Amino acid sequence: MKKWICLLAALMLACPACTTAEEYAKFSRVAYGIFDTEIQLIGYTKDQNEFNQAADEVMAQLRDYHRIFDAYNSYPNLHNLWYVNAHAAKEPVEIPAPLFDLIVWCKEQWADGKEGANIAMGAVLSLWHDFRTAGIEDPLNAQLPPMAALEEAAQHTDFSKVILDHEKRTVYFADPLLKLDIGAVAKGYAADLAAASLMEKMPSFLLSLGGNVIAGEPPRDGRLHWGVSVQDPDDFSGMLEVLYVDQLTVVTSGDYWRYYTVDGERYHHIIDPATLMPARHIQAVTVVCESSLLADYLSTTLFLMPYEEGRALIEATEGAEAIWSLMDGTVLMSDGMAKYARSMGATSR
Amino acid sequence: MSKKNIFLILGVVIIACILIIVSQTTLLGKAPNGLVRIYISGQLHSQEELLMERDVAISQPDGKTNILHLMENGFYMKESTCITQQCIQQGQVTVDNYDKRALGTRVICAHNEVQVELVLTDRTPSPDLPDI
Repeated sequence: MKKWICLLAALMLACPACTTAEEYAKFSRVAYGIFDTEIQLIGYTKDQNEFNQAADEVMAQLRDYHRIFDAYNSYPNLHNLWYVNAHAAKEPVEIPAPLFDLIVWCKEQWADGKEGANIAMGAVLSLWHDFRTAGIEDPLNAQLPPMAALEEAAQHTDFSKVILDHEKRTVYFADPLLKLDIGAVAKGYAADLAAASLMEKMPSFLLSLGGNVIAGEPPRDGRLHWGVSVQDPDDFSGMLEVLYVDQLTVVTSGDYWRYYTVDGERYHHIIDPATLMPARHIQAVTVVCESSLLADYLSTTLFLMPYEEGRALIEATEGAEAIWSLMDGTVLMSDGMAKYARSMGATSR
Repeated sequence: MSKKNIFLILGVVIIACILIIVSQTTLLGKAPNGLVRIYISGQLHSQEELLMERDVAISQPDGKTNILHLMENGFYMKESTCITQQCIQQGQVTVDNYDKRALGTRVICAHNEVQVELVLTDRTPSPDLPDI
């Protein structure tokens, strides 16, 4: 009798573990128009309603962040990045907490003396943005921004001229021609904020904002990790690698997504502050770490430096790993990336 | 006309009819190699079976148009009104190559908010395929 009771108790204890995967189903949603990219959310919930509720909330949240971080459009009663660039040289502008916190974080990185993406380069980047947009719309008449104009704009990229008041949550530009461009970090920060909210509603999720992917708890289908593909920069549809991750973020910066062509040559959107031209050190770099904001910042920063310098930076950054695609097609990865990479034997289980 | 010729003509006609009927029946009864689901702005727009080569026009009220080319074993985006033409550069998705593509079973035209997905009807994808 005792034997049977023990067996029954063991079965009851084992039961929840056996049925966990069966109780959950996989759902997904795709949305457009947020951060000018495709947003994809995959999640495991017990039913469609539970997924819809979590997806509705996170898409609404991402739409709000898109408006706050938007440098090209104004919205009623919102002091977003466009408003800051238009008014912060006249007087201090009170801004929403997510925008203020993001600027503070970026200024801290800059003040630490770390080499990296400078969000005060807006004057230079907006010139490139205007010429790229015109060139995409009218490819036959595509032109490069004049170097004289770029050099003049580069005189107004000093981050120390961005004055922040933490008590009043205001930003003021001491240089009237300075502009902020948070394209290198905005999606990463929004992904972190959205992920924090998803962890409460639907912990088993995978959220993609274009090249920024953030994974929650493992998929509830028996697998231990989510699979995230890394695009081959030489083949638009090809796959360079698959990374198996959970509760981590995977962010890629590359020369193949946003670009335009002038006289047969491609000019992408990641501009080297040293040359004021698109950086030409590597083709792409993918960063894996816990924070999507840090991964976004690091991927842009690594893209702006030669592989050797980037490798040293990654080795000095705890918890961050990277894969580089060099200009000659060579693929290299940091030592710790092997545990995530399919090519090194990693799997989803 | 001799009896022999009449029989010959009748024979040819009957064989032709049998061939037509057999080919029609085979095509109609043929199981599709997969399904293609077309989404516009995240909503399911239509579903097509992979049986034979043909073009499918995906037209939206605002003038955005994509021409999808279906094959027996997959599909590709043939034309698009989008500015970047990146959906065309994404190439073919087939039952044989989906596990080697960065976008897996999908082709995305972000500008036109169109997503086309290959649904495999006769196999369970490997758990090691990427989710995204």
